[in-house]
Amino acid sequence: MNAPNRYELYVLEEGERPVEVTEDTKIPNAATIKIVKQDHTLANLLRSQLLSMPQVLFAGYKVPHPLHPYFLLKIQTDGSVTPTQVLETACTKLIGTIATLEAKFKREFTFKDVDGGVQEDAYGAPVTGGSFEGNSYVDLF
Amino acid sequence: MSQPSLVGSILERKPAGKPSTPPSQTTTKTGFPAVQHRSQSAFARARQNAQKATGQRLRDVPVVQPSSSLKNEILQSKPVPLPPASILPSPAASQRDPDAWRNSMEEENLRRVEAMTEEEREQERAEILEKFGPHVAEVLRKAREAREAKQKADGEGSQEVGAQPSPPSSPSRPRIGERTRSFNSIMRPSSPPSSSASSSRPPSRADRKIRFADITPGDIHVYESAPPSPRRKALALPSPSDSDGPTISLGEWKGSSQKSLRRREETTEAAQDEGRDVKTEVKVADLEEGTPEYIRQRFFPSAPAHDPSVQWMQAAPEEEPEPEAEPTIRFDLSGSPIPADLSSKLPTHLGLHHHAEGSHAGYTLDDIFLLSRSTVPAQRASMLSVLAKIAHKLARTSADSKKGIPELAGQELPLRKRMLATGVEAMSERASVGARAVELLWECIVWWDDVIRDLDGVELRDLDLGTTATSSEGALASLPLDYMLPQIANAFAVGDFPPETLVQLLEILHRLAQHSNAMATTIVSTKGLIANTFQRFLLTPIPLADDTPLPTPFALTFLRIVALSSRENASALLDPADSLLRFVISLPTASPFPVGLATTLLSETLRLYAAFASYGLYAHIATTAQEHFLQLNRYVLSPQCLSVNLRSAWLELIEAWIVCAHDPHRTTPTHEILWSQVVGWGWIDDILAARERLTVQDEELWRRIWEASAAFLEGARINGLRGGEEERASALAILKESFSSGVEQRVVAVALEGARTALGKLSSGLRQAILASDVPVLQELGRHANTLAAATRLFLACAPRATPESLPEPPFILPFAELSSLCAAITNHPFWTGLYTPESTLYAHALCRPLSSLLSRYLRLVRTMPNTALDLWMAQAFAILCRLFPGDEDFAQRTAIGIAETITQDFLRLRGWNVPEAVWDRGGMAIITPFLKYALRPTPELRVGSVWKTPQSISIAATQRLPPLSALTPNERRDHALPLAKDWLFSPLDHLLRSGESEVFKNLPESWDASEAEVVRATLLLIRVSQEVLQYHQLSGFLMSREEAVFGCMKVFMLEHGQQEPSGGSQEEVFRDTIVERFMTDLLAPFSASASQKSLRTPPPSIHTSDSIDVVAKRFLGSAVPFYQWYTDFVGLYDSISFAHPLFARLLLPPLSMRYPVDYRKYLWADFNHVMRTIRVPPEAVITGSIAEYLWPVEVDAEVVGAYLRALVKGSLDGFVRLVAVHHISCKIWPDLGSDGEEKAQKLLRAVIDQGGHDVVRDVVLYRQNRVGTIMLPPACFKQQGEWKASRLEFAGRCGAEVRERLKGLLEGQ
Repeated sequence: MNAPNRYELYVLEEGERPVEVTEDTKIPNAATIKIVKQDHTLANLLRSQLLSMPQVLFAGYKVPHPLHPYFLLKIQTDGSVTPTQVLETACTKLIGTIATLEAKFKREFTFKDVDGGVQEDAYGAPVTGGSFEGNSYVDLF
Repeated sequence: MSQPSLVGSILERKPAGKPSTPPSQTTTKTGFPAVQHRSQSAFARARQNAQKATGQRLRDVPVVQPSSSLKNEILQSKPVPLPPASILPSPAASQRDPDAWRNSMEEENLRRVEAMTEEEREQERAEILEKFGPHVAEVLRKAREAREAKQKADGEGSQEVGAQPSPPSSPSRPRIGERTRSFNSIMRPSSPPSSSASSSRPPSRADRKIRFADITPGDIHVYESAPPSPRRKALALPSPSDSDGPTISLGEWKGSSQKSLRRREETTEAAQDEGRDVKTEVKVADLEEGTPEYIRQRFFPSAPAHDPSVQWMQAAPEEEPEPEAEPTIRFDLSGSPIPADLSSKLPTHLGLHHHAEGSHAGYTLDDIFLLSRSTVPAQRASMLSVLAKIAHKLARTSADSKKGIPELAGQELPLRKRMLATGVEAMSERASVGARAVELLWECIVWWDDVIRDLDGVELRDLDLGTTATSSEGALASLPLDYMLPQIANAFAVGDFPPETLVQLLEILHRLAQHSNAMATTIVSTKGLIANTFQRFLLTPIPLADDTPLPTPFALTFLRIVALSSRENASALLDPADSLLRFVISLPTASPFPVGLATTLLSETLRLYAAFASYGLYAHIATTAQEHFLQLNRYVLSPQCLSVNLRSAWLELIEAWIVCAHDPHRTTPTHEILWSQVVGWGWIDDILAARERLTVQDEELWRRIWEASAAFLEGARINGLRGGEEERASALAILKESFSSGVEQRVVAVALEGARTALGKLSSGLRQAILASDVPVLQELGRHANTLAAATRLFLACAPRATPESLPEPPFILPFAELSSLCAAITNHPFWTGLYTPESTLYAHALCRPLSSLLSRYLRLVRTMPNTALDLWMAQAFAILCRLFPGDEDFAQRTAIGIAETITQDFLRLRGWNVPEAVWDRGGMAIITPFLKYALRPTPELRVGSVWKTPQSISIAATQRLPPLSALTPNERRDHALPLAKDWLFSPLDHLLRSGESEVFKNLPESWDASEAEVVRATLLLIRVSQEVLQYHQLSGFLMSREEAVFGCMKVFMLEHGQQEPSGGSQEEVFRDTIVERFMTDLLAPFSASASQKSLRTPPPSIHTSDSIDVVAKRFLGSAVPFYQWYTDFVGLYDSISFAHPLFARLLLPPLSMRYPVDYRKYLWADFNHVMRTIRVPPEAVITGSIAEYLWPVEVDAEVVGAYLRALVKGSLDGFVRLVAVHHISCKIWPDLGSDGEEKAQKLLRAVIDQGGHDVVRDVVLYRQNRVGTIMLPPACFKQQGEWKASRLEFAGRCGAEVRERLKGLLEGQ
C-alpha cells in the first residue's frame, strides 16, 4: 500500500542529477559521492573495483536507507589522482571487465548451438527432455 | 542367694545341627498339609494346644520348633530343662539324638547338685516342691519311666511310635505345631522361627505371678551384627555357632560346652538316618528351609524338578540378594544416614525396615517422602520428624558441602523444595502431624539460613538459590504462599498448636519477610495474618494470670522487618500499632511482665516506631503519648536503666523523630511532629546530659548520641533562630572540650583503632571473595565505622554553614589524619571487588553499608578542611562515588554536581592543562549535568532509604532494605544506578545513543540546546579530568580499564550508526571533531602498546584482571544484544564512512586478539577482508596490554588462516595487521615455529609462493618470532639469523625442487 512505485527505484526524477560529488574539506583527497537510483549492485561492484586499485586508500559505501534508492560512496586516494578521477577509471575498468564477461558469455553460449547436443540446466548439469524428475530440489513454485 | 536358682529360666538351645522336617506321613493323605487357620500366631497356637493338652503350667517354650526326625518329636515335647537330680535322678541317657545333650545336662545338674551343701539342697527341694506342688516328683518320675520304656522299644526308630501320643506330657500338640510350622515356612518365608521369638519370653497364664528370666551375664551374647533378614538366621538369641562368625562372649556360661555338644549331636544324627534315602536327605538338608526346591524335595519328591506351573515360586528367593542399583542413602529415625555396609546388617527390630522394598535397614529419601503421606497419622508424623531432622543436617551441607550430610551435597535445593512441599501439604493437619510439618517447614525455612536471622537491612532473595544456582526458581520462591499464609493465619487464630510450634510459625513468617519485599507485601495482604499475629503474640491478656501466655518480643521483630520492607507495608501496620502503646505506657519496672521481658518488648516497640519514622510515618505518637515518652526518656537516660539495647533503641527513635521534625511537610501526614515540640521536650539536653554517665565501652550508645545530637543541630540550622547558632554554641560548649581531650576523644580513638585492626584482619584473611568467615570481621568494622561516621556527622552539623566549603577553624578536633588514612584504606580495599565474585557471601554488601556511609561523610568533611586541594577532593570523590550503594543517590548526585561545577576553565588553567576554548563556549560541564544527575538517579519505586536520614529520604523512601546482591552486579544492566561501574562517566553518550528513548531528553530544560559534538566534548573532558586526578593521587584502582575506555570510545563512533544523512555536510561526524579526536587519543594513550614495555612480553598473561570487553559492553547493551552484534555494526560503520580514520581503525583491533573467540577474527578478516588494507595501524599504536595476545597461540581456524593468506597476497597489508597475518601464516608453515610440517603446511607454502608477491614471500620465509621472552616487531623479526634457515630450506626441499630453488636465495643469503 505504502510501497513506493517500482519505477522510482531506477527512473531519475525531474532535474535530478545521477551523480553528486562532495569533496571532503578536512580529509585530503577524499570525497563522498552520492549516486542516485542505484543500489548495492553497483555500489559493491564499484567498491571492490576501487579497493583493487593501488592509488585508493579507502573505499566504502553505505546505503543509508533501504527504501531510498541511492548510496554514498566514500573514496580516499593517496593524492596521485583525485577521487573523481579514480572513480572514473574504476568505472571504465568495470565496463571493460563486464564487456569482456559479456563477450565471453556470448561466445560460450553460441557453443551450445554448435554442439547442439546436450542441454544444460541452471547448474550446468545436462538436462534430458526438460523435465525435472530427479531434480526435486529445484524450486518449482 | 548368690547362686542362681536351680530351677532356672528356660534357655533355648539348638536342638540339632540340621533343620527339622515335619513328619511327612501325617500330611500325605492329600499331599498338602492340612489347612490351618492363621488368625493366631504359630506361637500362640502352640501354647494354647499345649495348655489344652496338659492343663498344666508350661514352663518351657511351647514347641513350635520342629525336629528333623520323628523320634525327636517326642523328646521335643518334653520339658527341656530337666528337674534337678536331687529330686529326680536323671533319666538314663539312652536316646540317640537328643540324648547327648540330655546326658550332658544331666551331668551338669548332677555336678551342681553334688557341689551343693546339704542345706542348699534342702532349700532347693523345698522351693521346687513349693512351686510345682507335692506331686511333681510323681510326674517327673512317670515321665522318666515313659522315656526309658520308649528307649527300649526304639531300637529301629520306627515312626509309629512317634505318631502315638506319648503320655503324659507328649500330647498331639507337637504334630500340629509341626504342621503349622511347615505351612508357615511355605507361606511366610520371612517370619522368624517361633522358637527364637519365644525363647526370651516365658509363657504366661492368668493365674500366675510374674517372673522374669534370671539371666546371668554368661547368657548374653553380643553378636557382631545381627542378620538383616530373620529368614536367613534366627534373629537373636541362640547361642553363637560357628556360622555366626566371630562373637564376643561376655563370659562363658559355666558348665556348658556348646561346641562339643553340637558336634556330638551331628554325628549321632547322621548315624540315625538309616531309614531314609541318604542321598535325598543330604540334599534336603543342604537346601535352605522353605525354598521351593526344599518343599519339592521334601513333600513332592516325585514332582519334576522345574515345573513351569510353579515357576512363580522361584522368583522370590532370587531377588533376595537385591543388588542396590545405586547406593541410595538410607536414614535412620534420627535422620542420620546409615552407612551402606551397615544398612544390610542391622536387625529388623530397630524399626528401620518398614518400607516396601529391599531388606536394607533404614529409609531412603523416597521412602520417607512416600511415608510422609501416610494415612496413619503416627507414621506420617514420625516421618515428617525424620525429614525435619534430615533438613536440619542438610542445611549445614548447603553451607559447606563437607558438613551435615555430605552424601547429598549438590542436591540441597531440590530436596529443600520437596521437603517444603511435603511440609506445606501436611501443615494444615491437626495435632502432631501439623506440628511436625511446621517443624519441618521451620527447619527448611528458618534454620536453613540460621546465620541471617538478625539481618534486617537487605533483601535475601539471593540466598534462596544457594551456592549452586542450578534452578531458576529458589526454594522459598516455590512456596505456595496463597495457601500457606492463610493456614498460618488460621493457626494463629485457633491456637491449638503448642506454643513452640506457633513461635516456629512466627519465625517462618519472619524469614519469609526477610526474603523479599514482595513476599513481605504478600504477608501483609493476607487476610487476618497481621491481626492474628498481634492477637496471638502481643495482645496477651492483662492482668496476668498463671496460665496466660506472655507476649513474644520476636513478633515485634517480625513486624519491624515487614515495616522495613516497604512504605505500603509499614502503613498497613500503623493501625494495629496503636495497641503496642501498652508496652510503652508502663516502664519496665512497673510493667506487669518480668523486667527483662518488658525491657525487650519496650525496645522492640521503639525500634518498630523508628522503622515507621524512617518513612516519616507515625511520628504523631510522640505527641499523643508525650507524657509517657517524657517519662520513658527520664527512665532510659537515668542510671536506673541498665539495658544498653533499650537506650540505643530510644536514641535511635529520637533521632528518627528529630529528622521527621526538620520539615513538617515531609512526614505523612504532614505536621505530625513539630520542631517546637522537639525543642520543648528538651531531648537534646537530656541526651547531652546522658553522655556524662557513659564510658568508653559504650560505643553503640555514643554513636546514637552523636547521631541524635547531629540530627538536632541539623534541624536547628533549618528551624532555629539565626540558623541555629545558639544551639550549636551550647552543644559545642559541651563537646569541644570532650572531643579534644575528654571521653569522646577516647571513644573516637578506640573506634579508629578497632576499625584499623578489623581492616587488617580482613586484608590478611581475604582471598578473592568475602566468605562467611569474614562476616564477623566485617560486622565489627561496620560497627566502628558507624561510630566514626556519627562523629563526622556531628562535626559537620557543628560547622557554621551547611554548604561544603572550607572552614577557617574546625568546630572541634577529630583525628583527621588517622581518619583520612583509614578512609583511604577502606576505599582502596580489595573486598569491594570481592563483593561480586560468586563465592562471596550474598548479603555482604549490606555489611559494607556503614563503610560507604562513613566514606560519604568523610568526603564532606574533606571539603571543609581548609588545606584540601580541590583536585585531591575530586579524586577522592571519584573514588568514593564507586563505593556507594542504593540509598546514597542523593549524596552521589550532590557530589557529581559538585565535581562538574568545580571543573571550570580556571580550575584547569591553574593546573596547567590546556583545554580548547570551544569546550567552554556552551557552558562547559553544565550541558552534561542533567545526564550525570540522571545516571545517579534512583528509580522511584525502588528507592532505598538512606542510612543518613534526611527529610528528603524519609519522604520518598520506598523501602529501607537494600536490594539483593544479584540486582547490583556491576556488569549487567540494572534498575539501580548505584553502585557505579568505573566507566559510568560515559553515561551521557549512552543517552545520545539512545536519544529516542532516553528520559533525560524528555526532561531537559528548554535552554539546553547543545549539539552532539558538544556533549561528547564535555563528557570526554570530564573523563579525562577524572582519569588524570585519579592517576595523580594514586587512586589507580578507580581508573578505567582498557576495555572500558575502548568500549567508551566505540560509543563515540557509533553515534554515526543509523544516521541518515550528513545533512548537507553542515553537521560533520562527531568523531571527526578535532577536540573529540584529541580527547579520545589522549584517553587511549595510556592503553596503547607503546605506553608500556610490558606489552611486548610473551607469552601473554593467562589471567586478566579486568573484565573482557564483551562483559563491559553488557553494562550498556544488556544481555539481549551480544557484543558481537555491536562489533558487526561497528565494522560496518568503519567500512562505509570511516575514510580509514586511524583511531577508528585502532578500535577495530582489540577483539581480534587470540583471547577472544574466533568469531571476531572471522568477521573482520574473512567477511571484511577488503577493509584490512585500510587498517594501517603500527604495532605501537595497538590498544593492548600485550601484543603477544594477538600472536600466540597460533590461529587454528582454517578459514581465518585462509583469510590471512588472501589479505596478504591480494592487497598491500600494512603495519600491525600485516605482522599478524605474516606471523600466523609463517607459524603454520615452518616447523621451527611450531608447524607440524605436514601436507597442509607444504600446501600453504606453495600457495604463498605461487600467489604472493616478492615481498610477501620474503616476509613469510624470513619471519622469526619468540614464543617466550620479548616479541620482535618488524623489521627485527625478518632479520634474524640462525640454524633455522637451513632447516627451512630443507623443509622447502620437501615441497619440491622448484620451491627450494626459489627460496634458496632468500634463505642462504648473508
